[in-house]
Amino acid sequence: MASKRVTKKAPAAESPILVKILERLQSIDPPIKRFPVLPPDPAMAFFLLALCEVCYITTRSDAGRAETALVTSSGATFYTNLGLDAVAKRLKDHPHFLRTSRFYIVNMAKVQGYRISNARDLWFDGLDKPVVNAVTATYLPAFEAWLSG
Amino acid sequence: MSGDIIAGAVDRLALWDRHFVAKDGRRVFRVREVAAFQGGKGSTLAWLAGEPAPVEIATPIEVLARQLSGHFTRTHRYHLVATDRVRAVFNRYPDSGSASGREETAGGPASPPIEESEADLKADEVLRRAAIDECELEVEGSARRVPVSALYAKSVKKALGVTALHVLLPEHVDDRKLRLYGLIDFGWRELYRLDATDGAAVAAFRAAWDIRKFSRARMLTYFRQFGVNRLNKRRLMKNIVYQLWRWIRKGIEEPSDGNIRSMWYRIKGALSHHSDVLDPGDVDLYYDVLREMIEDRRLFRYKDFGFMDMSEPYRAVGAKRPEVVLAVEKLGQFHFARTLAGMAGASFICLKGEPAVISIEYFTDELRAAVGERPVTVFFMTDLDPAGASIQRSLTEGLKKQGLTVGRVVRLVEPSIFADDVAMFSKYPVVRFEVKGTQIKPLKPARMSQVTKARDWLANDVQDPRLYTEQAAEGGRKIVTIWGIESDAADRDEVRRRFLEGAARVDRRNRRA
Repeated sequence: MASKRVTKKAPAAESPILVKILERLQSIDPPIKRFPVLPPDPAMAFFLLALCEVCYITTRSDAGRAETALVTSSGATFYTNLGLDAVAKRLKDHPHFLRTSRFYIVNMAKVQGYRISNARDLWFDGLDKPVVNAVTATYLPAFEAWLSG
Repeated sequence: MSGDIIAGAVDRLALWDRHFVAKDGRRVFRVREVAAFQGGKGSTLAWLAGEPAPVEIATPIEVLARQLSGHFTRTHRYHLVATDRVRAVFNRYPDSGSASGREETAGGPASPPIEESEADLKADEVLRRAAIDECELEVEGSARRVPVSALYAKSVKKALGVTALHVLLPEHVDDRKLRLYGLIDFGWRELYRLDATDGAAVAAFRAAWDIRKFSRARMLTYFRQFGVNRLNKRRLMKNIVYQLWRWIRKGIEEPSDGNIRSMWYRIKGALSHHSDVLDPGDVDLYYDVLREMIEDRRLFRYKDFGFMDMSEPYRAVGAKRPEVVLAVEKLGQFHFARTLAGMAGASFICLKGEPAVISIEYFTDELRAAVGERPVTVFFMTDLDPAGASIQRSLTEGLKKQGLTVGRVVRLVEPSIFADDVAMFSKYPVVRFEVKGTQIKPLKPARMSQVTKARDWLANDVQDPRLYTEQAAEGGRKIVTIWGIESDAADRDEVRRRFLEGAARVDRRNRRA
């Protein structure tokens, strides 16, 4: 008996203006607003950190174990046991978060300044010190494309 | 396609501005102001962010759940919460008699009963497992926590983007080990980075995390029994002991300069001052927790706490043959053991019955410093009875657990060194029991466990018919006695000869090796 082959229809090309509107709407109301992190108080099972407060996400191993740290504009750091790649995957639909190096995911809405020289440093809202070499060459085109709107 | 998505996104944004009118008509508010809805009889309470009292509206919670889907998540039959406002998840500890399942845990009650039993603790674990998906949500803008029942847990997990509600997954393997054993490593990250020489930093750290100085209410947030509003004292005790160990290792807590009981007074003293949650009678709980964590779980050692070893004067490491160890059971054999070990240049230890784990820890460290990785040979002078055999096993296993290699074990007192007449005069009854067919009945004061151990010892360890007698009794029964012989009954010269020859053999073997 011959089997019936079912094929999916290719999606129709979207109007660029609709795509743009959708992007803007998502920027106003991101699909994910909080991210589960390890609790600052052991009485909690976990804490849900507001992503709008996060400046950047990076890897750390300064407490005897490899962790992913989420640094907020108040200077507080929260941690998750997910690797940076897994975090990037979860935030792929978030319009504000951009991978800028192997070690950094940046909240572009919090970027207040940058300097592109040999190193590409970023300044964030609320943080005194810049994050040094936060953007590497591989990720620079996407970063600059984001900045240019 | 994008058109539908855009329409959905616009609707979603617009929904935030939908108005509600209070039942009494005196208040109008928007969806964006609501932290949670609570269902009730004939009406619904809307808890607005930052407001202490709710506003009553007429819309039933079922209708709200449908209309506000996407913004609000149903967490309980009576509760609907603004998903984006949920900022923390807590384990749930339902109070008995809570009609709606609501938990008033913020800050805890003023004076909770603090008592428990073994049955309570078992029930605690059963309830905890059964209700692992039940939790409470802390909502931004509201001081009240919102309960999540098991029925709605799946949709809550989906809304929050997590796969479990009782713990954040993935979990670090070290955290998981501690959690499953009920331990909390308070402020571990700060402790890791803490400079133990920075007095101010140490004081601030201790002020923030010293369990002994927690208030009752704070203790309840960490060490509460599941299902009841009581403190889990065993868990509290484990955590205090664990924290002391961590802090002593870090150098921010002075080790004990006394014995094990001295540390209890330190714990009890601090607790009495701040929370008064333990009674003087809880010292047994403290001993048991310490034993469990050290001897069963092997999390650390008694020595780590700096406890002094009361048996220190009764042991020494040999200068010439430290790897040869003479272990005697009784304190009365101390002089004999010291002299004999001195003759051979060997190590010795006077066990005073079953060896204390703390003595083994100290002795092992001293031995290891002298012998390095070389195996040790242990010569035992213990009673010829099940207790003597148990002491031998305990010391041998103890040395191995502490990382020493035990090459050989030699019994200096064994049946062969007793002539028949000596054995007849020296033996004493270990247990007596009655046998009829296959039925065995212990005769007082013996218990069945002692009979079983004695029979096993006779059959496998000594296999000497002189230590077993049967006597016929009425009704086809037999009265059986298993005998033992005190080590003091052994000929000391024979023991001395066996030990010195054995020590010399160890020398020859070592040379060959």
